[in-house]
Amino acid sequence: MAEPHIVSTTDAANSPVGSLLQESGTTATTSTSWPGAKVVVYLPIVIRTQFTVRTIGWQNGTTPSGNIEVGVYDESGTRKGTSGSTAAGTTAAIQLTTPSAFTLAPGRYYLAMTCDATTYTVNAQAPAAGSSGSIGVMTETTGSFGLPNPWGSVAVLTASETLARCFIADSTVV
Amino acid sequence: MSEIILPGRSGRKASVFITPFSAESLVKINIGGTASAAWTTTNLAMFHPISLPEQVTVNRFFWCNGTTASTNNLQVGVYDSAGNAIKLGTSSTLASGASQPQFDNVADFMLYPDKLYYMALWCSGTTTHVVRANPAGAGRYGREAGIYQVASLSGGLTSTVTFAAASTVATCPLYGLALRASP
Repeated sequence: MAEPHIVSTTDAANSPVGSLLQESGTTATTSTSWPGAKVVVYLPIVIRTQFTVRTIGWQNGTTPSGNIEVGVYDESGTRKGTSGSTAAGTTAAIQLTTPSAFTLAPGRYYLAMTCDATTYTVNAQAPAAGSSGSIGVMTETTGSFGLPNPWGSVAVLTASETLARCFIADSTVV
Repeated sequence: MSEIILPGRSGRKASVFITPFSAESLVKINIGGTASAAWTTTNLAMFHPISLPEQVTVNRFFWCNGTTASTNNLQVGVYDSAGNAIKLGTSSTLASGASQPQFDNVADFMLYPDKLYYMALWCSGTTTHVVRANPAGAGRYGREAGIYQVASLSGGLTSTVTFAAASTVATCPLYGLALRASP
């Protein structure tokens, strides 16, 4: 089976987040406050065939502020690639970065997102309390801003449900 | 002897948490939204069909407690398509921790690709809340989705069950199998 051009957290075929939202009929996402400065949210995805990441993106909410970093981790917590620290861009717009290309073998991964500002909002879903942790979403708070490598003391996400809309693409044309 | 890993026909990897809502589920709901609600019937178990794209090692069972916990026991299990238990969780696990997932760390076991399995969730009472989707049309929903139910399991899930009744409960709980030992 071929991989789609974009693997997103809202993609039901590749993301438990997307499948929960689709199969429970709650697909709408809204501007949502980031759970806290230097909080990292790890969102599980599945890669079915070899996939070279050339674009990393996310969708800002109504009050983008501070700096954002989005990256990909394998199941062991090794960071495979990252957007690098990027100033939050336009309100309610998809924001794209072009990292150094990196390739993912088929497997289970996590799309990770973090922010250094408490006022940042992202386009996200906030499902019933407890849902995020029940589909494998994890979190940690880092001592300094940025995606760690490897990840640190990750825990099941049990509060501040933030199923952020973020994605990776195998093209720079998105 | 080293472990032999069987690939599934699809070549796809399984989700890290397998639930009635994940890609491995044979239940297609797409209605209702998720919310906290009380378990509907004392000692009722629901059975949700799944099929895996690859051989997996299951590390833990889990369910998602709703806004009221600490009053009833829950139990998760996995059955083959004939109703034989492959693995049962701890039957005396009191719901603990409102509005968050609760894990049952069972001994690791394997499931294989392209076979029909049923995940089961049982609850001893109707006070504890779980997070669930709430499809309209009790009875019709269970039949359309291929969900079974078994009632009056006063001691929890049993080593064998008879799939004799489609679910009449208009509820699809969030629970399942974790392919991570932690967190």
